[in-house]
Amino acid sequence: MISFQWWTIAKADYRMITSRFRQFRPILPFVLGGGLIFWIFYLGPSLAESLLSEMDIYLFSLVAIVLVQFILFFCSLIFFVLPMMSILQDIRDHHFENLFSTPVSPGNLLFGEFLGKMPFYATFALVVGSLFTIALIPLGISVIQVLIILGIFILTFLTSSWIGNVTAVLIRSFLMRNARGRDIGKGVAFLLIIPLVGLMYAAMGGYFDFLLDPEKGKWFGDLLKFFPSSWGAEIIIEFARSPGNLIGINPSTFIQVILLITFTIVVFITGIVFANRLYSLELKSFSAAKAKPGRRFYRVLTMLLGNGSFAVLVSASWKGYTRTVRNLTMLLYVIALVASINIFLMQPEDVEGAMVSTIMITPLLAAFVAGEIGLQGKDSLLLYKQTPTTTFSFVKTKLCHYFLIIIPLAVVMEVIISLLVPNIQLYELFFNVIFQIIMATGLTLFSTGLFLRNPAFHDKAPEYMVNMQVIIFLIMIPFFLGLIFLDQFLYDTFRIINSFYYIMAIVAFCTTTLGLIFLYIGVRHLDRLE
Amino acid sequence: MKTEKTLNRSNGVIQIKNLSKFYSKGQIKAVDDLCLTINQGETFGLLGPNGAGKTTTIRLLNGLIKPTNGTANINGFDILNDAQQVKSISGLLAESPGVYAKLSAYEFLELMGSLYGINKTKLKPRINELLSFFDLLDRKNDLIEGFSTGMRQKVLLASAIIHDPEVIFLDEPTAGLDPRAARTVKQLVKDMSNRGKTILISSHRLPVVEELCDRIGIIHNGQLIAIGTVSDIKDQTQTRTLEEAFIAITSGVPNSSISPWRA
Repeated sequence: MISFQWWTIAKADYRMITSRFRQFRPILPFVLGGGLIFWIFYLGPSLAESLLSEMDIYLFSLVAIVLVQFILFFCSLIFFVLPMMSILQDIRDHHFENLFSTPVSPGNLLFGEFLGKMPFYATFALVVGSLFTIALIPLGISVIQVLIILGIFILTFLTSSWIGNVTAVLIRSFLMRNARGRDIGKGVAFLLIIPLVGLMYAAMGGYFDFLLDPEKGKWFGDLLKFFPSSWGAEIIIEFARSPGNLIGINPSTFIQVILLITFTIVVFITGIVFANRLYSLELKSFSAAKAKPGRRFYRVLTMLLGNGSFAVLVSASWKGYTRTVRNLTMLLYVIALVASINIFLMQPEDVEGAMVSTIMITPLLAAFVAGEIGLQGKDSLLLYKQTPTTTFSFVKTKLCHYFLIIIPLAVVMEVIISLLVPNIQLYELFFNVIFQIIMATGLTLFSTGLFLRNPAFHDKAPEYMVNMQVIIFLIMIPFFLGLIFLDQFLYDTFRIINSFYYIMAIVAFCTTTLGLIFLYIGVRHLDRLE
Repeated sequence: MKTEKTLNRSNGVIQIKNLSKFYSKGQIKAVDDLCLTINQGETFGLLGPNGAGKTTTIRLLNGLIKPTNGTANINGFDILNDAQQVKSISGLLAESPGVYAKLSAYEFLELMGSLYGINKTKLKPRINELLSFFDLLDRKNDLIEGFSTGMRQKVLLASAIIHDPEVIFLDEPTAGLDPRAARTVKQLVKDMSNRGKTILISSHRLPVVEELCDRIGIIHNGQLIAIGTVSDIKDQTQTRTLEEAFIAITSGVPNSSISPWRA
């Protein structure tokens, strides 16, 4: 009776994604398409020609197939993970209640939701694919060859994102049956990105440089051949080696392309066929998560804080924080980030190195923790105003809670990283810890103040992202400016050769001062919040 | 109370036969052996305390979830075997449904109308008709994210009846609405009822139920424990108001124990 339900869903999904550009919606496909054509066939190749020498382009054409396989594999992984993160971060069952009260079939819904996002996935695939073609066009590959290469990229990445979508829908369906499903979904979404970050740092640290050598990377290439992402790699290399030659394709390469197309079709059909099992509004259980009252930790915490109302408030704030899976996975993410940086990117060889690697992470830790202050909604901030509790008491409670998480974590990270430094002296370790405590304190004040001044009531709110960026990058400014300019100034003026510690002292002073200023601004804003 | 229409009580449009829905391996009985017939053109009110099983019943009847035991017929279609047809001929206003906040009111209704299979040429005037009825025509291109709770409820109600269904399930239809909007909704329900539509309303607002429903059923712990007209229920419980009757039936809490709180 009803045809093209998937098209209706896709249209709605596309409209939602482009809701910010509603006025330009009719011309958006043309602008995007035109821009891509201009980039792929004119601007990109022109830039490549001017930036790369002939030798570079020639070498690029000889690049080991395993490198192309790895890039396709890595990008496929991103295309697999990103839709999963997006879906799991925003599990909304009520939204499905509405849709499934209509005669829409789950297969149509799944395909429609994917189709609505497909233009954006395809655009991203074309941008990644074009990075290859723009360097190959100056070598003389034909338009058809360019289109085939881009087609390979689109097929590979759409398959990955489809698998990612189907997997996410499956997980979402399972999580929706659980009372804490939404929270767990957000937590899982954060965990998914950890392997990608690890891989990225490993690549940046040169751990995959061996792929440039076809001999050394052969075993890795053989391993990657098991993944469909590799099945289109060979044709790209063949085109690069014999530009303009469409006929002389190796039969095995041709079979791999056929295999990739077949795999894509099979994966799409399988997803749609099994969609009926993927969507379910059935609850598994009505039982809600239970709190464990009177745990020893909370008893000790309230005792240490004086057993008064302040202690109860801090304890309540702590409970709310630690019972949210997303908060815990965010902390796990920070730890994984520190580990990845120190394992893959910059093993600390001296005390300064140890300080630098943590100075980049502490702002993120502070932003993640203090960012929760408004996430329970505006009412959670105003709740305190309905009682005789003052704004100052509320902020004091929150700061105490944040300090209890941020400072110990920052210190532990600093100690571990410092101990990796060969022959570190005890006083150096002590100095690093003190510095880290000051930085963590200043950053907590700054983050709390900023999130109070510019509250984010949802983790997808623009304010949340803006505050995060400000916290992470603003503190970097005095650090890098200090390293670049102050270093020379200290030498010229005071003949100080090793100025690193002076710069660090200035950074710590700036951070704490900024923290206090922003906290004051934030508290004043909270006072006026209506 | 309605007086204009004549009810065809001999023909049950909604026939519920031993319908049950259990959770946690049968430990929680959300709906327990429910038997009920609702006739064509009848407006039936389902009352019950929180967690009594009202929403689960509506979800079962709309085919959103599957029963553990029993079944139901909606206008001749079985909820187990003909779930798609059941959805085609019924409309649901869920208790706390999600909306596509990034769509405009018009776009959202266009989506829902298309999913019900309404022809594009018929859909446009129908959307405009509903938006005009709900006083939203001048806001039709505004994104729903900017709407108040009441305005969202109006859009959702419009989406539930966009295909002019024979059977309408309304879960708390006046929730979040101001008195004026609530009156509009009540008038709509009366109009639809007069046009022979069969309506099942679940609500906590007893005056709404009393005003709109031909018969009511009180559900408690998943079981239907009372059924009849409002007068029948009051007579059975020897109470003066529906509220007193409801409390007497569902909790047995004596009136005297709650009256001090009413001051």
